Amino acid sequence: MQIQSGKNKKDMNFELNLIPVFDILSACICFLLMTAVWIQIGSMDVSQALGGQSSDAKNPPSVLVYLNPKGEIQISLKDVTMAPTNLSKVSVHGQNGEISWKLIDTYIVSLHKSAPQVKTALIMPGSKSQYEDIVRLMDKFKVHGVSDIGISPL
Amino acid sequence: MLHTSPLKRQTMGSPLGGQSVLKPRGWKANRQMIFTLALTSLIDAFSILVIFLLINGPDNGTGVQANKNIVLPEATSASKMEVGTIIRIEQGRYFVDNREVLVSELTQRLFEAQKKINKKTEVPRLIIQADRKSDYSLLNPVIMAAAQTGYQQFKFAVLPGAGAKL
Repeated sequence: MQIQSGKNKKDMNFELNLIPVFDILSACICFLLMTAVWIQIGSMDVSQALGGQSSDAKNPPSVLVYLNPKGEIQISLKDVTMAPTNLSKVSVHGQNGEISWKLIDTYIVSLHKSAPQVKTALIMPGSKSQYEDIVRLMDKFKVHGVSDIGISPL
Repeated sequence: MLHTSPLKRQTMGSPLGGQSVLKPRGWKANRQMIFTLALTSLIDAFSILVIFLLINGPDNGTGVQANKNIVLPEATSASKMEVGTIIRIEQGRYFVDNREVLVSELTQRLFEAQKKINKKTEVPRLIIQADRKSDYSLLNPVIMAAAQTGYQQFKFAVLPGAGAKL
């Protein structure tokens, strides 16, 4: 294309038609909005409390947790050497049928400090125990280093 | 060449060119009343939106999706979801891989699902999705059936709480 001066200047401008681009982008956005995931779902690992171990296996130090329908939690330690007596067997009473999470937190923190070798917990819920309470309890144990958590069937 | 062509009156004048004050172009350099929409900024915004949605991505391949009838419990120590057999408990009904099953059929269905897993390359995992207000009595049949069919790992589907790192 030749650039000339004077009256016969060649126009170097051109116009780009953006309508098809806009169409394609709109279609892409609609599709992606329909298929996008807005809620991330995580997972909490639990092992089963039945079987899986040979009879010769040595039982690791563990904490047993029993959930009472009245919101009471009974905690006991098993095969834990040098366990503090005030933590060996504890009953945490709930209020109005609900679990007292502050007391549970306090106990787990004390247990982690006094007996850090405890890495296993077995939770024995009652039939009326709520799923979110079980998950919250497992979460609290995991946060404080008790990584192997088993759940017992009724 | 266009100014001598018989097709001159057939050609389209440039709407933007006609708006120019200094050097108007188009038919007789008249101001045209056609409304012009500047699409450039709109295309920019749409492009950014498309790139964001592409990066955000669809389902990560695990098959676990949020359900409007189920409010999952929250957990801070949630880990990344992995592929496995999904069992969903919704309003007292059991769904294994989105197919409804009776309580009495749970063991059989989980056994069939486990048989399909190639144990050399994959560990059998059971992903349990239930509402946070469910009683444990609803989960118990699942736990029992899974224990009988040899699932080695359970994963409870949870919503990541504050501080969770997925």
